[in-house]
Amino acid sequence: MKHIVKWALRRHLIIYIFTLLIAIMGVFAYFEIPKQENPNTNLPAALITTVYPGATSVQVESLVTDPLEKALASLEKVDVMNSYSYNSASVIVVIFDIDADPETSISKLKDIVSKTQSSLPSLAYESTIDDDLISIPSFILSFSSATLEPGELVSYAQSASTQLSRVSGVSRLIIDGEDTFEVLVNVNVDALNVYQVSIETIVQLMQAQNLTIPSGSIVIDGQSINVQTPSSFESVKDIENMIIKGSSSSVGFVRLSDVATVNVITTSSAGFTRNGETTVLLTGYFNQNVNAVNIGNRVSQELSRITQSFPSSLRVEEVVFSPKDIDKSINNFIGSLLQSIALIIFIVMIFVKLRNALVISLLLPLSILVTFIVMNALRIEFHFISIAALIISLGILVDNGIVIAEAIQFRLNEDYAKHDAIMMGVKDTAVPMLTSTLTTMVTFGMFFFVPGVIGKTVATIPTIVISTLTASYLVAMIIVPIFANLLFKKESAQKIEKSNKSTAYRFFRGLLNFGLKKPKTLIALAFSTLIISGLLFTQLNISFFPYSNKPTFHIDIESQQSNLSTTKATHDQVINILSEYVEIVDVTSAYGRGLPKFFITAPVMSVNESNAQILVNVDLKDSRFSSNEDLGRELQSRFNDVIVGADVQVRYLEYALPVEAKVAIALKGDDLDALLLASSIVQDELKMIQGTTNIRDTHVSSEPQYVVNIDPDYLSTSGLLKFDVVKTINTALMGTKPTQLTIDNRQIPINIQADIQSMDDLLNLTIRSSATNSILQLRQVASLNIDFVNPSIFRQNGLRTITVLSDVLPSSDATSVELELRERLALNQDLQDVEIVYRGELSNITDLISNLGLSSLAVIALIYLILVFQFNNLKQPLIILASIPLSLSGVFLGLVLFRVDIQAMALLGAVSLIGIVVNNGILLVEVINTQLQAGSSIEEAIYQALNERYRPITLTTLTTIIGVIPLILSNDPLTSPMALVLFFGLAMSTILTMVVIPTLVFMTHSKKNVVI
Amino acid sequence: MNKLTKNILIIIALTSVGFLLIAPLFDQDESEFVERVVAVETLSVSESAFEESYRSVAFISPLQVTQAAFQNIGTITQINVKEGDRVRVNQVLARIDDEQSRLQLQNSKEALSNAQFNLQTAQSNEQAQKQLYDEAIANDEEAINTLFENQNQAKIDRDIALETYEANRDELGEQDSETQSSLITYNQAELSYQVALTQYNTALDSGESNEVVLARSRYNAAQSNTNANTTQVNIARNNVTQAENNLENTVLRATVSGTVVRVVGNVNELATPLAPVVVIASDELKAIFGVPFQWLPTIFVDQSISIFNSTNQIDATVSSISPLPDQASRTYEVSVNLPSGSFAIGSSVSIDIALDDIVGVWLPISSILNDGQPYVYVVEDNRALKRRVTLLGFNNSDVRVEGLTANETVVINGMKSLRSGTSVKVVSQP
Repeated sequence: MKHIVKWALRRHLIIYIFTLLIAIMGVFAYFEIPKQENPNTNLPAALITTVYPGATSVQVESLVTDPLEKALASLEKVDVMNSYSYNSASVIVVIFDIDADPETSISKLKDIVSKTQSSLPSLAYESTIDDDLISIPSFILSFSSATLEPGELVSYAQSASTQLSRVSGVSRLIIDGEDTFEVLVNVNVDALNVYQVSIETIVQLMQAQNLTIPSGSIVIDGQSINVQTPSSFESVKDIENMIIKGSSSSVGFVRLSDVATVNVITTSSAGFTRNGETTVLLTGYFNQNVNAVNIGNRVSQELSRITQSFPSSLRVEEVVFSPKDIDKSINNFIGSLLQSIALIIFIVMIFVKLRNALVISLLLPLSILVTFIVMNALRIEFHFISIAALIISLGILVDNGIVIAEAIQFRLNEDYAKHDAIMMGVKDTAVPMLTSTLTTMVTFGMFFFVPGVIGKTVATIPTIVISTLTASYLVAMIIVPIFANLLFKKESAQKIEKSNKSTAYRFFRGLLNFGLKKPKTLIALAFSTLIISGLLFTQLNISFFPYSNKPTFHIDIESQQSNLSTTKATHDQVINILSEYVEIVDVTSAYGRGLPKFFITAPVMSVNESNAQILVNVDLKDSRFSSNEDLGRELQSRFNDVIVGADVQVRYLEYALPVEAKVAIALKGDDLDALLLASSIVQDELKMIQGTTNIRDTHVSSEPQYVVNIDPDYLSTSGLLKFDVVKTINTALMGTKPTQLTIDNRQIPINIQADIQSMDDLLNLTIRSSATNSILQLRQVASLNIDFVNPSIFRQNGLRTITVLSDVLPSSDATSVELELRERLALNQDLQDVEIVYRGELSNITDLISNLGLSSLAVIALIYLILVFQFNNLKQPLIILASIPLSLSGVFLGLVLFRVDIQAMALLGAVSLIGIVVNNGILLVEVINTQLQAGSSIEEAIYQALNERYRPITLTTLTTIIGVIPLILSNDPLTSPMALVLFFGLAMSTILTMVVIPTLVFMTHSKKNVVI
Repeated sequence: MNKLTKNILIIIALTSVGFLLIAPLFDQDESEFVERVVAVETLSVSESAFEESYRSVAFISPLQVTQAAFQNIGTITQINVKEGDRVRVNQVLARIDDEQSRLQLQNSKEALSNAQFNLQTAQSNEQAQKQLYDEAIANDEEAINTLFENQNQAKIDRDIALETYEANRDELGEQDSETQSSLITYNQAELSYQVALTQYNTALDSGESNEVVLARSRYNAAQSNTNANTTQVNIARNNVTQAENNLENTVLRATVSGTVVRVVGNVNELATPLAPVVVIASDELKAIFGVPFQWLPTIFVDQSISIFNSTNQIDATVSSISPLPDQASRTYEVSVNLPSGSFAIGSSVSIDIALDDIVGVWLPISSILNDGQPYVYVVEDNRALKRRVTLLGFNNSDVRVEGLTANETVVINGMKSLRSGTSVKVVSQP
């Protein structure tokens, strides 16, 4: 290092040019860095949907879900595989580990699914795989109007879509709410009986119509001219007139219109509304790793151009337009960044000479610009986490500059020549700075190993902090000396004296006096502070991932009846209630399905007649509600009051999925009865435990269904095949689309189904024997029964799973309830066949704490090793590590004072403190050791260390904690708790470290003297 | 107690007080705990009757369908009706060529008049012979009467002579001449009488006279001749009738009132008795429907049945049930006669045969849940309680259950959010 600096001092021009180059490249990189709203925390996942029309959930489970699950079990790096077997459909969600390669994992999965198709029932449709669970649309536009028809809305949306698709960076546009048409051939069962026709005959005849048979060609004058005979249906009349049976007795031909009504209908299995009007949604996606803000601006411009030509009655509104949010949040964060820089420079200027401050301040933009270059090179996106990481590193990276500047200044003050002072300063600080930089890096490096969603959220933090710190170290070591050479001057003795008499110095000195007199009392005081703050800390609520502070929430509706009109009625009821609140600015909703993914963690509700989703934007200015949650709580209680037969949940935008209940016990096994028994045992035990309430399980009660019992004896004599019966019932109830109607080159599918509205209608259904062509009624070969089946069967990793849930009364807490339950269940012999997984609050805490705890231990061990290398001593590093628990008392107090819930990000902040707080100890112990070696007494060495280091330590701490103030004030739900923790942890640990570490050194040293 | 311990104790005491002062501030942050109340819809339990019935669809067809064909072979010359025409009995539907038939009729009529003439002649002859015969018989009788009277006169004479003799004898005596002469007279009278009696008896004994016999045989011959001629006339008359029929058969008439449903023949085509020319559906209707064997025991002839479509409704009775199932559909055809004009031919109608009423507690199917056994939720003191029920039967939308008592409140919507003991709020009671 010394040689490099020496060389640099000689060739300072190169360094100036190099600095300029870095600045230019950094600015350039800033504009090139991809920008997005949130860190990409989605795990690679796939949704496999297999429709098996008419099958019960149990049949779906055994015939579709099970074979697929067994085949998928061979996949590697699967985090969890959940399956839902419903009536007529199987849904399997495979979520891969965070470190699985999305592309190979998904392609392997596709491979397996396609190979398994052959072993699925022939009537099951081919499985569809949705692996696009990751991409989040960048904008959702609504097209609504009081006067325009839905078809017109669609055509405007289409024209907008066509034009927006030309904007570069826009990857995909999807229109939702587009009406799809079909020709519904509604076959009357009575008429089928009268004319002795089966619905299957109609299907087959339609299929035959579908064939396009080449007619041939005529040769005219040696020229062959093709003849085409269009055979497909060209009008509804064509379909109605289709002859389905020859003449019989006194009746002529039977035409389709004799047995069915034929109508073109819109298949409205789903719809969208915006503030009460039917709407069409245009959802747009951007390319990955791009500057979303720029594309967003281009889209906005293009959109305002497009809408000029639209009628005034058409409103095109932004439901979601994330580039604006990104722009806003990045601007906010850049604002915070600039504020931090300003604050830090201001602090530095107060404490050091303006000239020195200028040099130190140079470190900030340079290191940040270097980091931009690294970010751009690694395609690390700008989002609130990466910017927060930048802000956090600001406070730390300036430390290097301060330390080296102080060291050089110290030597200058000792009357060394400038060059020598610089060389000595570099020599003095190169190792301790490297050590302290390394410890910080190691600490943040731990973030690489945080598992799960949290890990992915914070994944950019270590890269950014490490690159900033590396940059800062190099800049401090190479560039700062060059500029110091240019600007630094020897300070006057008067000034040195003045700084020694500063309040801070006197405060520390006083504390240290007390510590050296009564070391044990001081240590006891310090640690009792820790214990008390720790006790207060346990009073805090836990919410690992807080809600987003966007003025938005959503309402998810799941109707208990799978029928669109019931769902729509509930949806309307909810919207009516919402309309009573002036705080609600706009309401966008979907029924029969969910809205397009509008937020990173918002669950996408599947297309299902029982689903509806409402997105609400609020404005809480001048409102009696203080927060989203406040309003949401009132809404939820109103919904609970009036809405019957549907689950209506007010949900907030979150950064992770919520826990189901404070106490949650997942029971897994193959045998449903054993699981149900286990569930009732667990529920009974929970009832015995004080403080539990709302005890329930996730098992869905069986629902009645009709079972068609086919009489095999009669079947064998009737000439009917079981297939005929099953297929006909399937076609009659579910419909089938054998062909299409061609109008204006548009193909509209023809859907044939029977108008079965009652049990009698079903029993009257005519069935044609494919063997003998005779026509029988269903009731001749089968009887109907009522049976009960589970409407849905949930399995996790191939095992049926029932989760028992319990809320906890305020008088008790989840941890003690769960511990007592574990104790009680351990004694129970009946639960041996059932796998029990605790998933409540306690396990979340223990999971995170064990993850963080293990990582922290690893970090502490690494830091210890580094310190052992530096000090060549086993005991002193331990003393330095004592500052870690001391910082915790600050963390606890900070959280308690600001009443912030215990959060993952706050805990991560606490862990990242480890690397920062030990730096102070290193600097102190370093001087004490040097002084002791120089022959000073232990007291002298300690006071000298305080003398020499209190300024850089106070300064570096101040810069760090002042630097994070803008982040605390930004009130971002994720980053501000982390900043808060850094602020208080660092402040507290610094105050204590200055006194406790020397005291500890003093105590261990004096003991050694006694021994000697 | 050393100073250190004292200090530590003071610190602990102070911090504990501080903790106790600060800690309560944080409790209010806990979100208030509210028990979950689920809104539900309920139904008050009561017994009701469900009328079970057999419902099906019937096909309206004419009671009878007549295929009108010519009895004779001939070329169709005229068709007077078209499909859809209403026709009455005897209305002329069509004609075939009648020249042959007319000629035949003429000839047969001539033959008849000849035969009739012959018969007349024979009858006159028979009449004459009969007269002669009668006369002969009369003559015979006259002769016998004369002999009888002669014999009677002779007998009277004899009796007078006898009386005279006996009187003379008694008066005069035997020997008196007068007695003697009267005796002689008497003897002579006796002889005359004997002769007359003999003549009479001989006449009686000898029977008919030859004249009579002759006359009779002549008469019999005349009779036979008449009979033969009568037969001839009859044959001739039959021939005429047949010819007349033949002529009539060149005209096709409606045998029933109804509607022409089909005209099969065409003018100038050859008509044969096997080829119908016009098909007529009767105005009287019947509804027919197939009944699967499972339901056969519940349906019988004369059972009341309601037949209806969207515009019309008729109460009728089952007219007949086919003893054998239809080959193709394996159902037994049930026929119900209907008055003319009640429904359109070829239309389908609904039929409803009322069977028994089933009385019990009927609940919507969807309100029944099952955890291995069926149950419902009842509301008691605003709490949901699980109540086991037994399913007894079901119809199109409801299930009949056992296990509930009248006036209990059963949850019929929202039950899936309930657990036993959940607090509920009844939103509406339909």
